[in-house]
Amino acid sequence: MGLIFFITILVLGYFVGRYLENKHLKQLLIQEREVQHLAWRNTGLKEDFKDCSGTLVYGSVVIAQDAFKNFLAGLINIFGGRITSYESLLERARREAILRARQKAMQLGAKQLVNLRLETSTISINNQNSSGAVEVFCYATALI
Amino acid sequence: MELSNIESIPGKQIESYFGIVQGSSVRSKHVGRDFAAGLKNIFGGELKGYTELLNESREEAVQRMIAHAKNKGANAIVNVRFSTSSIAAGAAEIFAYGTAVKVI
Repeated sequence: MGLIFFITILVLGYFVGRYLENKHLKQLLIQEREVQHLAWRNTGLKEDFKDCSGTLVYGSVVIAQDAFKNFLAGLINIFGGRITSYESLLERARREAILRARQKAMQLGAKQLVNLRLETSTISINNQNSSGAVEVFCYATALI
Repeated sequence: MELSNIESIPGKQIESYFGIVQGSSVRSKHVGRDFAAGLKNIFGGELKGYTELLNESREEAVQRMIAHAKNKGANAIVNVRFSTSSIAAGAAEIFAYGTAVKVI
């Protein structure tokens, strides 16, 4: 009985998870196109910028992984190797966080983003130790 | 109060330095028995409520850093950096720090 429940969760997780992930990736492509003229780099810490003003902008996102990919990661954890099921999660989260920082900068009328930095931290759900939710935080200086 | 994460404020000159200022706030890293988050953990996707929560937490840390700088008589903070660290019992501290300066 418990096994049937478990397999149902995995199957649900797989299909709905894939659907939501693809939807998110499509959305990312569309929104990234809207901000693509805003240049961004992670240099600029010690540069002096004249003829413009600037301010700190940041964007963050918390994304959870679906049950199927969590299960897969647990398996890979036994044998070792690249946990590709988490790599896509982190990639999505990074893109989303950077996108949000760029959107905030665009709202302010910025021309470019300099010294972009990223911070990642894990979030646990329901007192489990590794539930596969991650927060990515991106901050940069927008030059207006 | 102007903020930037580079060593200067774009378009302005730094007149004097007031030292490091900081602000922090502690938030629970556990989403707890949140039903919606439990569901999301089956299907995957963004935890919007938790994103908001962490955003607020970060805003608070930044506001505290700004207050600290105001007390010192600064009007800008440069080289702002953030650090998130795990504390025991599932809490995370969001820490913002920077150098308070006077710009003209």
